[in-house]
Amino acid sequence: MNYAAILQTVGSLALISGVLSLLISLAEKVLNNYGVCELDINGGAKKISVQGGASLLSTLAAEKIFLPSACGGKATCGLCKVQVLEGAGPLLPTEEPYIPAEERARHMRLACQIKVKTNMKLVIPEELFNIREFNCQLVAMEDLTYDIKWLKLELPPGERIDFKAGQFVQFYSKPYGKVKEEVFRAYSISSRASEHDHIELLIRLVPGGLLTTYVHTVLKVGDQVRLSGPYGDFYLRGNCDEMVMIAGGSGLAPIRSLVYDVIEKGLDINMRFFFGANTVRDLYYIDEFRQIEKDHPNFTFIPCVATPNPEDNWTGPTGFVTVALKEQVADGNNKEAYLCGSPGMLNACIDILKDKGFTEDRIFFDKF
Amino acid sequence: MKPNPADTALRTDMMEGRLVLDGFLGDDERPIPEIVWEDEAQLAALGLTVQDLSKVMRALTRKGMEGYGEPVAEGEYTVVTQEYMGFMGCPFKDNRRAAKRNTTVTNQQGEQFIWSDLSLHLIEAHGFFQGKGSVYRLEPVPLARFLNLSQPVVSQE
Repeated sequence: MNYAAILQTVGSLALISGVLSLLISLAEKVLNNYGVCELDINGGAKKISVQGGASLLSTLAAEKIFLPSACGGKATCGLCKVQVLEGAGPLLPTEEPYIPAEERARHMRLACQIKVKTNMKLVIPEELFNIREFNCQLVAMEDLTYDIKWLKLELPPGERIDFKAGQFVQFYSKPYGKVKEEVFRAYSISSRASEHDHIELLIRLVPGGLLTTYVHTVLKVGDQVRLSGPYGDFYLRGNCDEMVMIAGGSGLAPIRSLVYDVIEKGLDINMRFFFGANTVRDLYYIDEFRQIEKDHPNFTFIPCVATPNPEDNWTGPTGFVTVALKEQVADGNNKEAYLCGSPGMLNACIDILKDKGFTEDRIFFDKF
Repeated sequence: MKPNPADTALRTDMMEGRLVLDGFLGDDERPIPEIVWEDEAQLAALGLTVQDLSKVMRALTRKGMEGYGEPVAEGEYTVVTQEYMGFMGCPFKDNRRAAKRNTTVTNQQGEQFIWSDLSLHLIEAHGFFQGKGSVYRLEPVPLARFLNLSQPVVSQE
Protein backbone atom coordinates (compact mmCIF):
# COMPACT_ATOMS: atom_id res chain seq x y z
CA MET A 1 0.00 0.00 0.00
CA ASN A 2 1.33 3.41 -0.94
CA TYR A 3 1.01 5.32 2.33
CA ALA A 4 2.60 8.43 0.84
CA ALA A 5 -0.08 8.56 -1.87
CA ILE A 6 -2.84 8.08 0.72
CA LEU A 7 -1.41 10.81 2.92
CA GLN A 8 -1.07 13.09 -0.10
CA THR A 9 -4.69 12.47 -1.09
CA VAL A 10 -5.96 13.06 2.46
CA GLY A 11 -3.85 16.21 2.72
CA SER A 12 -5.15 17.49 -0.62
CA LEU A 13 -8.76 16.84 0.41
CA ALA A 14 -8.19 18.60 3.74
CA LEU A 15 -6.66 21.56 1.95
CA ILE A 16 -9.55 21.77 -0.53
CA SER A 17 -12.07 21.52 2.34
CA GLY A 18 -10.24 24.25 4.23
CA VAL A 19 -10.18 26.56 1.22
CA LEU A 20 -13.87 25.91 0.52
CA SER A 21 -14.77 26.61 4.17
CA LEU A 22 -12.82 29.85 4.03
CA LEU A 23 -14.56 30.86 0.79
CA ILE A 24 -18.00 30.05 2.24
CA SER A 25 -17.17 31.99 5.38
CA LEU A 26 -16.00 35.00 3.35
CA ALA A 27 -19.03 34.77 1.05
CA GLU A 28 -21.37 34.71 4.05
CA LYS A 29 -19.69 37.79 5.47
CA VAL A 30 -20.02 39.64 2.18
CA LEU A 31 -23.45 38.38 1.09
CA ASN A 32 -25.05 38.51 4.55
CA ASN A 33 -23.68 41.92 5.38
CA TYR A 34 -26.78 44.03 5.24
CA GLY A 35 -25.05 47.05 6.76
CA VAL A 36 -26.93 49.59 8.80
CA CYS A 37 -30.70 49.54 8.33
CA GLU A 38 -33.26 52.05 9.55
CA LEU A 39 -36.35 50.93 11.45
CA ASP A 40 -39.11 53.51 11.14
CA ILE A 41 -41.64 52.85 13.89
CA ASN A 42 -45.19 54.22 13.99
CA GLY A 43 -44.97 56.59 11.05
CA GLY A 44 -41.67 58.17 11.97
CA ALA A 45 -42.45 58.64 15.67
CA LYS A 46 -39.34 56.61 16.41
CA LYS A 47 -36.43 55.87 14.09
CA ILE A 48 -33.64 53.46 14.97
CA SER A 49 -30.47 52.62 13.08
CA VAL A 50 -29.52 48.98 13.53
CA GLN A 51 -27.02 46.52 12.12
CA GLY A 52 -28.86 44.25 9.69
CA GLY A 53 -28.68 40.49 9.66
CA ALA A 54 -30.50 39.41 12.82
CA SER A 55 -34.17 38.60 13.34
CA LEU A 56 -36.51 41.53 13.86
CA LEU A 57 -37.43 40.14 17.29
CA SER A 58 -33.85 40.07 18.56
CA THR A 59 -32.97 43.35 16.82
CA LEU A 60 -35.84 45.10 18.58
CA ALA A 61 -34.95 43.45 21.89
CA ALA A 62 -31.39 44.77 21.55
CA GLU A 63 -32.97 48.21 21.22
CA LYS A 64 -35.00 47.53 24.39
CA ILE A 65 -38.27 47.10 22.51
CA PHE A 66 -39.76 43.84 23.72
CA LEU A 67 -42.45 42.02 21.79
CA PRO A 68 -44.31 39.26 23.65
CA SER A 69 -42.99 35.81 22.79
CA ALA A 70 -43.16 32.45 24.50
CA CYS A 71 -41.01 30.15 22.39
CA GLY A 72 -37.80 32.10 22.14
CA GLY A 73 -37.90 32.63 18.39
CA LYS A 74 -38.58 29.05 17.27
CA ALA A 75 -41.79 29.89 15.41
CA THR A 76 -43.90 27.63 17.57
CA CYS A 77 -45.90 30.15 19.61
CA GLY A 78 -46.93 32.79 17.06
CA LEU A 79 -47.05 35.52 19.69
CA CYS A 80 -44.45 37.93 18.30
CA LYS A 81 -46.67 39.28 15.54
CA VAL A 82 -45.86 42.76 14.37
CA GLN A 83 -47.14 44.93 11.56
CA VAL A 84 -44.41 45.48 8.96
CA LEU A 85 -45.52 47.93 6.28
CA GLU A 86 -42.29 47.82 4.30
CA GLY A 87 -39.08 45.86 4.13
CA ALA A 88 -40.07 42.39 5.32
CA GLY A 89 -40.01 40.57 1.98
CA PRO A 90 -42.42 37.78 1.07
CA LEU A 91 -44.18 35.70 3.73
CA LEU A 92 -41.99 32.77 4.79
CA PRO A 93 -43.24 29.16 4.95
CA THR A 94 -42.57 29.15 8.71
CA GLU A 95 -44.89 32.15 9.12
CA GLU A 96 -47.76 30.89 6.96
CA PRO A 97 -49.58 28.77 9.58
CA TYR A 98 -49.65 31.67 12.03
CA ILE A 99 -50.77 34.51 9.79
CA PRO A 100 -54.36 34.18 8.54
CA ALA A 101 -55.53 36.00 5.41
CA GLU A 102 -56.96 38.96 7.30
CA GLU A 103 -53.64 39.52 9.09
CA ARG A 104 -51.66 39.06 5.86
CA ALA A 105 -53.73 41.88 4.38
CA ARG A 106 -52.62 44.05 7.31
CA HIS A 107 -48.97 43.05 6.75
CA MET A 108 -48.67 41.18 10.04
CA ARG A 109 -45.48 39.14 10.32
CA LEU A 110 -43.69 36.95 12.84
CA ALA A 111 -40.85 39.09 14.21
CA CYS A 112 -38.82 36.01 15.12
CA GLN A 113 -38.78 34.75 11.52
CA ILE A 114 -38.06 37.81 9.42
CA LYS A 115 -34.56 39.20 9.23
CA VAL A 116 -33.64 42.84 9.14
CA LYS A 117 -32.06 43.11 5.69
CA THR A 118 -33.16 46.55 4.61
CA ASN A 119 -34.94 49.62 5.93
CA MET A 120 -38.27 48.69 7.48
CA LYS A 121 -41.47 50.47 8.43
CA LEU A 122 -43.16 49.00 11.49
CA VAL A 123 -46.23 49.62 13.60
CA ILE A 124 -45.79 48.71 17.26
CA PRO A 125 -48.54 49.27 19.87
CA GLU A 126 -47.62 52.12 22.22
CA GLU A 127 -48.05 50.00 25.36
CA LEU A 128 -45.15 47.79 24.30
CA PHE A 129 -42.77 50.73 24.72
CA ASN A 130 -43.46 50.60 28.48
CA ILE A 131 -41.98 47.13 28.65
CA ARG A 132 -38.53 47.20 30.17
CA GLU A 133 -35.76 44.79 30.92
CA PHE A 134 -34.60 44.18 34.49
CA ASN A 135 -31.51 42.39 35.72
CA CYS A 136 -32.75 41.19 39.08
CA GLN A 137 -31.24 39.25 41.92
CA LEU A 138 -33.03 36.26 43.36
CA VAL A 139 -33.06 37.18 47.05
CA ALA A 140 -35.36 34.45 48.35
CA MET A 141 -36.86 31.19 47.14
CA GLU A 142 -39.02 28.71 49.06
CA ASP A 143 -41.09 25.61 48.37
CA LEU A 144 -44.79 26.37 48.74
CA THR A 145 -45.76 22.83 47.79
CA TYR A 146 -43.91 19.79 46.45
CA ASP A 147 -43.96 21.32 42.96
CA ILE A 148 -44.46 25.07 43.38
CA LYS A 149 -41.70 27.48 44.32
CA TRP A 150 -42.03 31.08 45.51
CA LEU A 151 -39.38 33.42 44.16
CA LYS A 152 -38.56 36.95 45.30
CA LEU A 153 -36.58 38.93 42.75
CA GLU A 154 -35.10 42.28 43.70
CA LEU A 155 -34.61 44.98 41.08
CA PRO A 156 -31.25 46.76 40.85
CA PRO A 157 -30.96 49.69 43.29
CA GLY A 158 -32.77 52.77 42.01
CA GLU A 159 -34.88 50.90 39.48
CA ARG A 160 -38.62 50.41 39.78
CA ILE A 161 -41.27 48.37 38.02
CA ASP A 162 -44.76 49.72 37.48
CA PHE A 163 -47.31 47.05 36.69
CA LYS A 164 -51.02 46.45 36.95
CA ALA A 165 -52.04 43.68 39.33
CA GLY A 166 -52.57 40.56 37.21
CA GLN A 167 -49.89 41.28 34.60
CA PHE A 168 -46.94 39.00 33.83
CA VAL A 169 -43.22 39.14 33.12
CA GLN A 170 -40.98 37.11 30.84
CA PHE A 171 -38.37 35.17 32.82
CA TYR A 172 -35.12 34.36 31.00
CA SER A 173 -33.06 31.32 31.99
CA LYS A 174 -29.39 30.79 31.35
CA PRO A 175 -28.06 27.79 29.38
CA TYR A 176 -27.73 24.68 31.57
CA GLY A 177 -27.18 20.97 31.00
CA LYS A 178 -28.85 19.88 27.76
CA VAL A 179 -30.30 23.36 27.26
CA LYS A 180 -27.71 25.20 25.22
CA GLU A 181 -29.47 28.51 24.82
CA GLU A 182 -31.47 31.04 26.77
CA VAL A 183 -35.12 30.15 27.25
CA PHE A 184 -37.90 32.47 28.32
CA ARG A 185 -41.41 31.91 29.57
CA ALA A 186 -44.24 34.05 30.92
CA TYR A 187 -45.10 34.12 34.65
CA SER A 188 -47.74 36.17 36.42
CA ILE A 189 -46.57 38.48 39.18
CA SER A 190 -47.91 37.43 42.58
CA SER A 191 -46.71 40.43 44.60
CA ARG A 192 -48.50 43.71 45.24
CA ALA A 193 -48.59 46.29 42.45
CA SER A 194 -47.77 48.90 45.12
CA GLU A 195 -44.33 47.31 45.62
CA HIS A 196 -41.98 48.62 42.98
CA ASP A 197 -38.54 47.43 44.08
CA HIS A 198 -39.14 43.71 43.71
CA ILE A 199 -41.52 41.17 42.27
CA GLU A 200 -42.62 37.77 43.45
CA LEU A 201 -43.39 34.79 41.20
CA LEU A 202 -44.85 31.31 41.75
CA ILE A 203 -43.36 28.70 39.45
CA ARG A 204 -44.72 25.18 39.20
CA LEU A 205 -42.45 22.41 37.96
CA VAL A 206 -43.61 21.08 34.58
CA PRO A 207 -42.10 17.64 33.84
CA GLY A 208 -39.65 18.12 30.96
CA GLY A 209 -40.16 21.89 31.02
CA LEU A 210 -37.08 23.81 29.98
CA LEU A 211 -37.53 26.82 32.22
CA THR A 212 -39.30 25.30 35.20
CA THR A 213 -36.60 22.62 35.42
CA TYR A 214 -34.02 25.43 35.46
CA VAL A 215 -35.84 27.19 38.30
CA HIS A 216 -36.41 24.04 40.32
CA THR A 217 -33.01 22.40 39.89
CA VAL A 218 -30.41 24.99 38.89
CA LEU A 219 -31.38 28.44 40.15
CA LYS A 220 -30.25 29.43 43.63
CA VAL A 221 -30.61 32.40 45.92
CA GLY A 222 -28.13 35.11 44.97
CA ASP A 223 -28.29 34.35 41.23
CA GLN A 224 -28.97 37.06 38.69
CA VAL A 225 -32.18 36.72 36.68
CA ARG A 226 -33.16 38.71 33.61
CA LEU A 227 -36.80 39.69 33.30
CA SER A 228 -38.79 41.82 30.90
CA GLY A 229 -42.23 43.24 31.41
CA PRO A 230 -44.86 43.99 32.41
CA TYR A 231 -47.05 42.37 29.79
CA GLY A 232 -50.67 41.40 29.42
CA ASP A 233 -54.25 42.59 29.53
CA PHE A 234 -55.27 40.45 32.50
CA TYR A 235 -55.65 43.16 35.14
CA LEU A 236 -58.21 44.72 37.43
CA ARG A 237 -61.16 46.39 35.68
CA GLY A 238 -63.27 46.90 38.79
CA ASN A 239 -66.46 47.99 37.00
CA CYS A 240 -68.60 45.72 39.16
CA ASP A 241 -70.03 45.03 42.59
CA GLU A 242 -68.34 41.67 42.90
CA MET A 243 -65.28 39.93 41.55
CA VAL A 244 -65.44 36.16 41.22
CA MET A 245 -61.87 34.87 41.17
CA ILE A 246 -60.94 31.29 40.32
CA ALA A 247 -57.50 29.71 40.35
CA GLY A 248 -55.75 26.37 40.47
CA GLY A 249 -52.10 25.53 41.08
CA SER A 250 -49.71 28.40 40.42
CA GLY A 251 -52.65 30.29 38.89
CA LEU A 252 -53.07 31.75 42.36
CA ALA A 253 -50.24 34.21 41.56
CA PRO A 254 -52.09 36.99 39.71
CA ILE A 255 -55.19 36.54 41.91
CA ARG A 256 -53.11 37.30 45.01
CA SER A 257 -51.89 40.50 43.39
CA LEU A 258 -55.45 41.43 42.38
CA VAL A 259 -56.82 40.84 45.89
CA TYR A 260 -54.20 43.12 47.46
CA ASP A 261 -54.82 45.72 44.75
CA VAL A 262 -58.55 45.92 45.54
CA ILE A 263 -57.82 46.13 49.27
CA GLU A 264 -55.09 48.76 48.98
CA LYS A 265 -57.16 50.92 46.64
CA GLY A 266 -60.08 50.70 49.09
CA LEU A 267 -62.48 49.71 46.32
CA ASP A 268 -66.04 48.96 47.32
CA ILE A 269 -66.06 45.57 45.62
CA ASN A 270 -66.84 42.18 47.09
CA MET A 271 -64.39 39.43 46.22
CA ARG A 272 -64.93 35.69 46.22
CA PHE A 273 -61.87 33.57 45.56
CA PHE A 274 -62.32 29.91 44.61
CA PHE A 275 -58.99 28.08 44.87
CA GLY A 276 -59.06 24.53 43.49
CA ALA A 277 -56.66 21.75 44.44
CA ASN A 278 -56.64 18.01 43.92
CA THR A 279 -55.33 17.19 47.38
CA VAL A 280 -54.57 19.08 50.59
CA ARG A 281 -50.86 18.97 49.76
CA ASP A 282 -51.59 21.08 46.66
CA LEU A 283 -52.90 23.93 48.80
CA TYR A 284 -50.74 26.87 49.90
CA TYR A 285 -51.12 30.45 51.18
CA ILE A 286 -54.14 29.18 53.11
CA ASP A 287 -53.25 31.01 56.33
CA GLU A 288 -52.57 34.23 54.43
CA PHE A 289 -55.93 34.23 52.64
CA ARG A 290 -57.75 33.20 55.83
CA GLN A 291 -56.20 36.22 57.53
CA ILE A 292 -57.26 38.52 54.68
CA GLU A 293 -60.76 37.11 55.09
CA LYS A 294 -60.73 37.98 58.79
CA ASP A 295 -59.39 41.48 58.20
CA HIS A 296 -61.55 42.37 55.20
CA PRO A 297 -65.24 41.46 55.25
CA ASN A 298 -65.53 42.06 51.49
CA PHE A 299 -63.24 39.06 50.82
CA THR A 300 -64.38 35.44 50.93
CA PHE A 301 -61.93 32.60 50.47
CA ILE A 302 -63.19 29.24 49.23
CA PRO A 303 -60.45 26.61 48.93
CA CYS A 304 -61.81 23.40 47.35
CA VAL A 305 -60.09 20.03 47.56
CA ALA A 306 -61.15 17.41 45.01
CA THR A 307 -60.07 14.29 46.90
CA PRO A 308 -58.83 14.93 50.45
CA ASN A 309 -57.26 12.02 52.27
CA PRO A 310 -58.96 11.00 55.54
CA GLU A 311 -55.80 11.78 57.50
CA ASP A 312 -55.88 15.38 56.21
CA ASN A 313 -58.96 16.14 58.36
CA TRP A 314 -60.10 18.52 55.63
CA THR A 315 -63.26 20.35 56.67
CA GLY A 316 -63.63 22.73 53.71
CA PRO A 317 -65.53 22.18 50.47
CA THR A 318 -64.81 18.84 48.85
CA GLY A 319 -64.98 18.29 45.11
CA PHE A 320 -63.93 20.17 42.03
CA VAL A 321 -63.86 23.94 42.07
CA THR A 322 -66.56 23.82 39.36
CA VAL A 323 -68.99 22.31 41.89
CA ALA A 324 -68.47 25.12 44.39
CA LEU A 325 -68.72 27.68 41.60
CA LYS A 326 -72.06 26.27 40.44
CA GLU A 327 -73.43 26.19 43.98
CA GLN A 328 -72.19 29.51 45.28
CA VAL A 329 -72.43 31.96 42.38
CA ALA A 330 -76.04 32.71 41.57
CA ASP A 331 -75.67 34.89 38.47
CA GLY A 332 -73.42 37.26 36.58
CA ASN A 333 -75.24 40.47 37.51
CA ASN A 334 -72.75 43.29 38.16
CA LYS A 335 -69.96 40.77 38.45
CA GLU A 336 -66.59 40.30 36.78
CA ALA A 337 -64.72 36.99 36.69
CA TYR A 338 -60.95 36.59 36.86
CA LEU A 339 -59.49 33.16 36.16
CA CYS A 340 -56.02 31.67 36.09
CA GLY A 341 -55.13 28.01 35.88
CA SER A 342 -54.83 25.03 33.59
CA PRO A 343 -56.81 25.13 30.34
CA GLY A 344 -59.21 22.33 31.28
CA MET A 345 -60.23 24.01 34.53
CA LEU A 346 -60.43 27.37 32.80
CA ASN A 347 -62.69 26.12 30.03
CA ALA A 348 -65.00 24.28 32.44
CA CYS A 349 -65.34 27.35 34.68
CA ILE A 350 -65.89 29.70 31.74
CA ASP A 351 -68.75 27.46 30.53
CA ILE A 352 -70.37 27.63 33.98
CA LEU A 353 -69.92 31.40 34.19
CA LYS A 354 -71.53 31.87 30.77
CA ASP A 355 -74.44 29.67 31.82
CA LYS A 356 -74.90 31.97 34.80
CA GLY A 357 -75.05 35.03 32.59
CA PHE A 358 -71.48 36.33 32.61
CA THR A 359 -70.82 37.90 29.22
CA GLU A 360 -67.46 37.29 27.54
CA ASP A 361 -66.36 40.89 28.07
CA ARG A 362 -66.62 40.37 31.84
CA ILE A 363 -64.58 37.16 31.98
CA PHE A 364 -60.83 37.77 32.14
CA PHE A 365 -58.03 35.21 31.90
CA ASP A 366 -54.53 34.88 30.53
CA LYS A 367 -54.07 32.82 27.40
CA PHE A 368 -50.61 31.46 28.22
CA MET B 1 -28.87 13.14 -1.02
CA LYS B 2 -28.51 16.68 0.21
CA PRO B 3 -30.72 17.20 3.28
CA ASN B 4 -33.67 19.52 2.87
CA PRO B 5 -33.02 22.71 4.94
CA ALA B 6 -36.52 22.50 6.42
CA ASP B 7 -35.81 18.92 7.57
CA THR B 8 -32.52 20.03 9.07
CA ALA B 9 -34.27 22.83 10.97
CA LEU B 10 -36.95 20.40 12.14
CA ARG B 11 -34.33 17.95 13.35
CA THR B 12 -32.52 20.74 15.19
CA ASP B 13 -35.73 21.78 16.96
CA MET B 14 -36.31 18.16 17.93
CA MET B 15 -32.96 17.83 19.68
CA GLU B 16 -32.84 17.72 23.48
CA GLY B 17 -33.01 21.07 25.21
CA ARG B 18 -34.62 22.90 22.28
CA LEU B 19 -38.38 22.66 22.77
CA VAL B 20 -38.47 20.05 25.52
CA LEU B 21 -35.74 18.98 27.91
CA ASP B 22 -35.21 15.47 26.52
CA GLY B 23 -36.01 16.18 22.89
CA PHE B 24 -38.11 14.10 20.53
CA LEU B 25 -35.52 11.92 18.83
CA GLY B 26 -33.68 9.98 21.53
CA ASP B 27 -30.69 8.29 19.90
CA ASP B 28 -32.52 7.68 16.63
CA GLU B 29 -30.38 8.83 13.72
CA ARG B 30 -32.86 7.97 10.97
CA PRO B 31 -34.27 10.86 8.97
CA ILE B 32 -37.60 11.97 10.41
CA PRO B 33 -39.63 10.91 7.31
CA GLU B 34 -38.09 7.45 7.63
CA ILE B 35 -39.15 7.20 11.27
CA VAL B 36 -42.68 8.12 10.22
CA TRP B 37 -42.76 5.68 7.28
CA GLU B 38 -41.44 2.74 9.29
CA ASP B 39 -43.94 3.28 12.10
CA GLU B 40 -46.78 3.67 9.61
CA ALA B 41 -45.68 0.47 7.88
CA GLN B 42 -45.82 -1.42 11.17
CA LEU B 43 -49.36 -0.17 11.72
CA ALA B 44 -50.33 -0.91 8.14
CA ALA B 45 -49.29 -4.53 8.70
CA LEU B 46 -51.97 -4.63 11.39
CA GLY B 47 -54.46 -2.97 9.08
CA LEU B 48 -54.30 0.26 11.07
CA THR B 49 -53.57 3.92 10.45
CA VAL B 50 -52.28 6.56 12.84
CA GLN B 51 -55.80 8.03 12.84
CA ASP B 52 -57.19 4.76 14.21
CA LEU B 53 -54.86 5.08 17.18
CA SER B 54 -55.10 8.80 17.68
CA LYS B 55 -58.90 8.71 17.66
CA VAL B 56 -58.94 6.32 20.62
CA MET B 57 -56.14 8.18 22.38
CA ARG B 58 -57.97 11.51 21.97
CA ALA B 59 -61.15 9.97 23.38
CA LEU B 60 -59.26 8.65 26.41
CA THR B 61 -57.63 12.04 27.01
CA ARG B 62 -61.03 13.75 26.81
CA LYS B 63 -62.41 11.26 29.30
CA GLY B 64 -59.47 11.84 31.62
CA MET B 65 -60.03 15.58 31.51
CA GLU B 66 -63.36 15.07 33.21
CA GLY B 67 -61.42 14.13 36.33
CA TYR B 68 -59.32 17.33 36.55
CA GLY B 69 -56.33 15.29 37.69
CA GLU B 70 -58.28 12.55 39.47
CA PRO B 71 -58.61 9.00 38.07
CA VAL B 72 -61.55 8.34 35.75
CA ALA B 73 -62.72 4.85 34.77
CA GLU B 74 -63.26 4.25 31.06
CA GLY B 75 -64.08 0.66 30.17
CA GLU B 76 -61.13 -1.49 31.16
CA TYR B 77 -58.89 1.55 31.62
CA THR B 78 -58.19 4.05 34.37
CA VAL B 79 -57.32 7.44 32.95
CA VAL B 80 -55.63 10.34 34.71
CA THR B 81 -54.85 13.64 33.03
CA GLN B 82 -52.53 16.11 34.63
CA GLU B 83 -52.59 19.69 33.36
CA TYR B 84 -50.21 22.58 33.65
CA MET B 85 -50.56 26.20 32.64
CA GLY B 86 -49.26 27.21 29.25
CA PHE B 87 -48.87 25.41 25.97
CA MET B 88 -46.26 23.71 23.84
CA GLY B 89 -45.55 24.55 20.23
CA CYS B 90 -45.37 21.82 17.63
CA PRO B 91 -41.87 21.33 16.18
CA PHE B 92 -43.46 20.97 12.73
CA LYS B 93 -44.48 24.63 13.13
CA ASP B 94 -48.08 24.11 12.09
CA ASN B 95 -49.53 26.68 14.48
CA ARG B 96 -50.81 23.96 16.75
CA ARG B 97 -50.31 24.90 20.37
CA ALA B 98 -50.88 21.84 22.51
CA ALA B 99 -51.97 22.24 26.11
CA LYS B 100 -49.40 21.08 28.67
CA ARG B 101 -51.39 18.00 29.56
CA ASN B 102 -50.26 14.44 30.25
CA THR B 103 -52.62 11.48 29.99
CA THR B 104 -51.77 8.31 31.91
CA VAL B 105 -53.80 5.25 30.94
CA THR B 106 -53.58 2.01 32.89
CA ASN B 107 -55.36 -1.21 32.00
CA GLN B 108 -56.50 -3.96 34.36
CA GLN B 109 -53.25 -5.88 33.86
CA GLY B 110 -51.32 -2.88 35.17
CA GLU B 111 -49.87 -1.98 31.77
CA GLN B 112 -49.51 1.74 31.35
CA PHE B 113 -49.07 4.23 28.52
CA ILE B 114 -48.48 7.94 28.99
CA TRP B 115 -48.80 10.62 26.34
CA SER B 116 -48.85 14.38 26.30
CA ASP B 117 -51.23 16.41 24.16
CA LEU B 118 -48.23 17.31 22.02
CA SER B 119 -47.32 13.62 21.55
CA LEU B 120 -50.91 12.94 20.58
CA HIS B 121 -50.84 15.79 18.08
CA LEU B 122 -47.54 14.57 16.61
CA ILE B 123 -49.13 11.18 15.97
CA GLU B 124 -52.48 12.51 14.81
CA ALA B 125 -51.22 15.23 12.45
CA HIS B 126 -47.75 14.04 11.48
CA GLY B 127 -47.70 10.28 12.07
CA PHE B 128 -44.68 10.83 14.30
CA PHE B 129 -44.37 8.51 17.30
CA GLN B 130 -40.94 10.09 18.08
CA GLY B 131 -37.48 8.61 17.75
CA LYS B 132 -36.17 5.39 19.26
CA GLY B 133 -34.78 6.08 22.72
CA SER B 134 -36.88 9.21 23.22
CA VAL B 135 -38.48 9.19 26.65
CA TYR B 136 -41.72 10.28 24.99
CA ARG B 137 -41.72 7.67 22.18
CA LEU B 138 -44.80 5.52 21.94
CA GLU B 139 -44.15 2.19 20.22
CA PRO B 140 -47.01 1.92 17.72
CA VAL B 141 -47.60 -1.82 17.77
CA PRO B 142 -47.62 -2.29 21.57
CA LEU B 143 -49.75 0.84 21.82
CA ALA B 144 -52.23 -0.55 19.27
CA ARG B 145 -52.40 -3.80 21.24
CA PHE B 146 -52.86 -1.88 24.50
CA LEU B 147 -55.74 0.03 22.92
CA ASN B 148 -57.25 -3.24 21.67
CA LEU B 149 -56.72 -2.13 18.08
CA SER B 150 -54.43 -4.87 16.90
CA GLN B 151 -57.21 -6.30 14.76
CA PRO B 152 -58.15 -4.38 11.61
CA VAL B 153 -60.51 -1.56 12.47
CA VAL B 154 -63.89 -1.41 10.78
CA SER B 155 -64.99 2.16 10.22
CA GLN B 156 -67.70 3.22 12.66
CA GLU B 157 -68.59 6.36 10.73
